[in-house]
Amino acid sequence: MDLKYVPSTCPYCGTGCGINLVVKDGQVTGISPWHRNPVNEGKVCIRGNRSFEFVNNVERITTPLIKKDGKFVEASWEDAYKEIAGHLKSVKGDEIGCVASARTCNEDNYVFKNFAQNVVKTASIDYCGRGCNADAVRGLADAFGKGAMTNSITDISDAKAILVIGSNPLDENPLAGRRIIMARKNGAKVIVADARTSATAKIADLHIAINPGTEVAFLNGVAAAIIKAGKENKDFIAKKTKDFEKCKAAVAPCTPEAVAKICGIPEGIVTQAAEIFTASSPASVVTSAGAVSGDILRASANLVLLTGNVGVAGAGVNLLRAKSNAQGAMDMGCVPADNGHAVPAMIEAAAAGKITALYVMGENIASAGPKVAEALDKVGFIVVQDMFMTETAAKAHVFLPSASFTERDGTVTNSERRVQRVRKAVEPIGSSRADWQIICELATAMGADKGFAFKSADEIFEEIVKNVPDYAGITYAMLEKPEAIQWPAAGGVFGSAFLYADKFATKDGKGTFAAVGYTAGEAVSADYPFAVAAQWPRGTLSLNTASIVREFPEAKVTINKADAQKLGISTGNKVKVSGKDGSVTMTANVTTGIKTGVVSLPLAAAAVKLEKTEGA
Amino acid sequence: MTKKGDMLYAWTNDAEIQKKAELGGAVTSLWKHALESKTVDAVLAITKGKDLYDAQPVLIKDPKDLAKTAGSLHCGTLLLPKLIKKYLDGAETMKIGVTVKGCDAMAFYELAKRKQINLDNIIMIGVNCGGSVSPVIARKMIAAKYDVDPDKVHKEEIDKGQFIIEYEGGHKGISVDELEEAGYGRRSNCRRCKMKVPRQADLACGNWGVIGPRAGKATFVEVCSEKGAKLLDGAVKSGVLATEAPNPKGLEIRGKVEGAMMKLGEKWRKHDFEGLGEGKDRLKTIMTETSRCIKCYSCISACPICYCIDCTTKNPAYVTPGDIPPNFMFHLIRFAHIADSCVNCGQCQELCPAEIPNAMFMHAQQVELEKMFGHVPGQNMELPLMAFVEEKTERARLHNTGSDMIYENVFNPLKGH
Repeated sequence: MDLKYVPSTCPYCGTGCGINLVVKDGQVTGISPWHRNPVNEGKVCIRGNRSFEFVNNVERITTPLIKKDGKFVEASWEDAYKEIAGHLKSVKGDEIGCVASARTCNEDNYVFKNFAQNVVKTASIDYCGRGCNADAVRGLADAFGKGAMTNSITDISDAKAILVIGSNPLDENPLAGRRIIMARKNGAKVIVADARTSATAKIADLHIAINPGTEVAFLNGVAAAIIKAGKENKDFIAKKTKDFEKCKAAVAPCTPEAVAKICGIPEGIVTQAAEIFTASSPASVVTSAGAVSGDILRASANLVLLTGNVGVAGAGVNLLRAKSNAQGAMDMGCVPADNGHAVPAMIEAAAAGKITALYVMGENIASAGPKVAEALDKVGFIVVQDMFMTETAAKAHVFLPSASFTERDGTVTNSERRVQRVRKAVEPIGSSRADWQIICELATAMGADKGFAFKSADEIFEEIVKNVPDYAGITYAMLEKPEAIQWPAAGGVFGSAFLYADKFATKDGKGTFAAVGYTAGEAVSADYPFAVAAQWPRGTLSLNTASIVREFPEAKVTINKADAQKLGISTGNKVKVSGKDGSVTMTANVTTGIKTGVVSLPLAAAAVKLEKTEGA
Repeated sequence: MTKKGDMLYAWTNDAEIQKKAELGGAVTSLWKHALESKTVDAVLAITKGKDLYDAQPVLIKDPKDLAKTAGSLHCGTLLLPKLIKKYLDGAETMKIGVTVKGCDAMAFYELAKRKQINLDNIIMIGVNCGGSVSPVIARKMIAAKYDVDPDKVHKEEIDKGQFIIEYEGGHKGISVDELEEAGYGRRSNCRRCKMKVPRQADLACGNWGVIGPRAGKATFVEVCSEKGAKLLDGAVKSGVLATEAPNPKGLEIRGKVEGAMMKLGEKWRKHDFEGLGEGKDRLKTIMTETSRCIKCYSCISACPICYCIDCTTKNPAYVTPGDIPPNFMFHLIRFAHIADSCVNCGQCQELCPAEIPNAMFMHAQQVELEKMFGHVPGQNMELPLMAFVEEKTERARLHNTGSDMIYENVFNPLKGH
């Protein structure tokens, strides 16, 4: 019997918790706490606790597959590469879409971007199946200069006031949520704006049940109330920012009365929130990337610029990411060029017959809804690299089996810009291979004569640091320290726990206010009477982990008891949920923990109709 | 020939061990002999992972690798017996030597009572433990209270009530009391601990009581079992270990140190448990704090009392799957199943992402139950009160009522409907 611990990074959300893989006789058989990791100090959520389960799931596909007469047939790697090369070579670059992955390593995404750019020659590359991340990151970059969280997950516990909006960290990014709990234990006041009485809302000092899609109105309302009370940080605004007047004008219509109406909240509560946010500093905004989150991020940035809450520990705009390497995939440049498509546009182009080949690495884009799945049916040639037969993979013409995070080396970058190691603890299962290796071998098979001759993840990282300025100077050796490095690396100097202490990273060094007005989104109507509070869907890893499936066996629609009674719906009933993009059937979860007129479900829809289909 | 109850000073005769080991290298030598004589197949010990603050378990089969383990790591807060249960087949298939702190020793007995570990295949060398410090807290403490870069520290120890560090350019000690006053220092369960010399191990070793010329160069060894005596005699016979009778004054000092530590533990118990309030107030505190639970199951994964494959917290009749936070029943189940046997190892608290003082709650209840029923967990193989329920008989009795579901029989929720 042989036993060893291999430190690694949890493969789930963008918090980037450290874990120890327990390796027994060449197999990953468990997760043990890694107390020494500064992000989570050995603590994990249920996903982290069970993050070894999917690795050994018998459903894993570990041999390349080629579809013949509608059925997958096992193939050799050589034949699979030959098949792909033959097809892709006959398709023009601008008809090819490439989807990088927010849950594979930086090294994979880096070579994938080069593959898209230089081998298949397309401008259409993106990394998120739900089209939400890129705009959020742009919002941050516009305001501050860098497209990333201004502060650290750890320093959220130093905040004295926290506004959580568009996010439920205790459930979605639990070990970032822990920092809110710690802040509260240190005396911080916590405001949560959410239509649901979420786990995070339950620990709040002030829970404001705003209507979904009205976040910008709420944030602008808080900004307007602060300005009205004369509590803006005039010195900070004068010295460190620009365009305050534009912001002031844009938020002016969001009076407490107007906001109360738009958000469906009592009058006076916005002023109360403004008072809490300005009562003590540092104050921070915690949010995550969802639909239309670009403007939420801009409005959040306005709020911290307005109050001078940037450039100090415990302040800032803290964008928590859904997937382990959402930040890194963007850092590696897996975003569309000016003439390229993001994923939602790729799907539209596919439906219109303008994208005829798709290459998807470690994302399940078909899970976004029936419309995407239909569009994929029209694509002439699809390659999917993954561990499991996802809805997207089922539509592939060639399936390439990826090694899990326990079977390869690499780095992932968490929400707080911390570049951390993933370490090879065991050999890849079956004939699966690391994603970077697959891309490099395929590129070579397609005739690429340079840029893909890597022998290890380490060699790719050496290339990354030469080409990605924020990573300059980082080496694998530096990442051996459990603190690893939070970029910008500044040649390997530690300590960029929060950004903009001296000045902003914008061209003129000024924090830039945005004139972001509230515009009503798709409103509820007689046809679709319920507003949707988006819920994070279960992803590929969760769906293949028995312990998590046990907790969340199916997608559920959460509905208020009063609304449910009118529709004759009880918990456990099957309900047909219809929106503009089609219908799905889900199980009802009836509760008082959500606002009337609002439902919560894991679909990209703004308004829906519910009909009971079965159940007593 | 030594026998149970003997006490002596011991140190190594092995030149290689002498170079690296602390306190004369007695423990390392005992393990060397255990491996070489095939008394054990492997030794499970703690080694440095990424640095001084990173404790990792290591399974050693080659005596040459023992050098890796030398030195104390007060930032090591691991609990080894649960790892043996989970990852080493509960020592069913191999003989394992383990260096244990008090909480490890207690956890071994509780797991053995539940037939999760085969104690016949375990040899425990216990070490005195005044408590351990979580690594990230330790680093913050060293930066804030010592004004030293934690990366520059190459050695730490707890001695004479001080946490002492050695770093590039000097050494510094601050009293543990002062550190704890400032919110640093030992884990809260360690503060309450009274298992300072683990005598339920086969040998209890440490530095308390080593005085005179041997101070710092020998280990105090108390022989606690025949297994321990045999190991010690073997090591002496093979020439790897030397021993002598302890200085009588040392014995006295040893008793005093232990007594002082026990007193301190009692002081913290009073402080912590009084802070919880009593009766309904205590219940309210517990309900408020546990209402933040995010159901990560870490408390259950790490608990040395938990071993059920079908954990009751996963019974949907009690705890609705997917609800975050779970209802209070989740915590009641843990209290009901564990409190009588809680050994205050602290894992459930140290690993809680919702910062719930789980161990404090459980320990507070254990202390009350001990007062009521007299059962002391973690000392020996004596079973807790609940174990005297004969499950088959009880099931049969329930079954005769028409159902063998305990909940239905006791609460009869359908009665009157």
